[in-house]
Formats: sequence, structure tokens, C-alpha cells
Amino acid sequence: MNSSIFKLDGICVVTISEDEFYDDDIGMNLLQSFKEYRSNKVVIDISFLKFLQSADITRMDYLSKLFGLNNIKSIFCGLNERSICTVVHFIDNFSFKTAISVDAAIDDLKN
Amino acid sequence: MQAQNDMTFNISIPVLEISDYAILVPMIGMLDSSRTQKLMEEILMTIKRNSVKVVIIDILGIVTIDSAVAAHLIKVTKATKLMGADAIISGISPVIAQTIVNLGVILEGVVTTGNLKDAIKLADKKMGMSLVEIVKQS
Repeated sequence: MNSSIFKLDGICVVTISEDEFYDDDIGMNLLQSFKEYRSNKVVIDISFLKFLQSADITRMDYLSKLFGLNNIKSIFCGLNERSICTVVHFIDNFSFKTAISVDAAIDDLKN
Repeated sequence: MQAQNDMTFNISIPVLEISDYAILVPMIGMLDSSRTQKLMEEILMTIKRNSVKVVIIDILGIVTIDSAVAAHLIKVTKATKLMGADAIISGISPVIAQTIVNLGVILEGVVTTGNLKDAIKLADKKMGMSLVEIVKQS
């Protein structure tokens, strides 16, 4: 995997790379990594996304549901505020959790 | 003209930091697409800049509400949620509440309170804090 992954306080932090985010097998690969790290709480940093599109929201929703099926709590962080202003007009619903930063996501998962 | 419009916007929708983790946006007058977009940008940038956790949008000063205004408010709360913060809409008067219900607007997932006091209490509660009265010892 090109994405960086490390474990902090029992929580896996993944800084996902752009090419892997759009890879069809990313969910499966990440699940495998989480299994190896023996973690059921993960933070996904997607700060590489400078221009957020509605397809990206759908992708995050899909990954969140996939992790949820494996009893893994996930929080996405690093969303660009300017992109959100635009993309919010084109999305109906989303079920994933978000945080302003990796630190905030870790705090949220700890509590 | 543009400067005057900007000034009117800044006066009418200020973003106030009420604590380390919460901001208050008191809304006055009419709400249209342009104002909502600017408001959304301002709120999101403040969330990013100050690591805000809770955004309170007080709509007591909104004169009229229709389905478009309600849709704008829902978009602002969605955007806030995407940034990782919670949004609370406060100041929903009985008339506004009745209008929202009559319009058939579904405010599912949007946290609302009747007044600002309750919204601030709720924001504190979300952060695990509460105001405690200091008892003076005689």
C-alpha cells in the first residue's frame, strides 16, 4: 500500500493516497491492514483531496459502511472547507463521521 | 455598491466566538442563496481556523421562513457536519415551527432548540461541560 498507516493509542491512523482512494480494492486492503494492526477504531485522513466531489462523498460513505460491517468505527478527517461549500449542494445524505483534524478524530474515538 | 453589500452582510450575520469550542451565528432579516453561501463559507472557515466543535445558528431574527430558507439551513448544517462539527439551530419560535411543519420540511438529523439559552446549554453538554452556580459561603 502507498498509503501510510500507523497505530496510536489503539487507533489506526491512515493517510490515504490519491491513487489508492480510487482503487476498487482499497476497502479490502484497508480491512486487511486493520486486522494486522488489531484495531477496530480508525481515522482516515483524506487531506490529499483538494477538490471534493459528490463521488468522493459516496466513496467515503461506502468505506464507512464497509468498516461498520466489520465492527470498525471510522472517522474521516482533512476535508477541504471550500470544497464542502460546493459539494453540499449536490449530496443528499451521508452516514460517515468526520472530524476537523486527526487529533480531534482520535479524541472522538477515545471517548 | 459592493462594499455596501459586504458591510450589510457582515453586520447582519456576524460569526461570534462564544467559547473555545463554539461559535454563535445570529441571523437577522431575509435569507437567500447568496447570503447562505457566504454564511456557509464563513462558518466553515471559522471551524477550520479555530477548531470549532459546535456551531449555533440563531434564527430568531429571521423574518419569514419558506421551504427555500429551510433547505438553505439544512445545507449549512450538512456542511458543518462534514467539517466534523455539530450544528444547533436555535430560536425557533412557535410561528416558525408551525410554518416548518406546514411546509412539510423534514429537519431530520438537525438539532433544534426553542431558544439560545437551551442551545448554549446543549453545546456545553456536547462538550461534557456545564455551568455551575457558585454558592457563596457566609
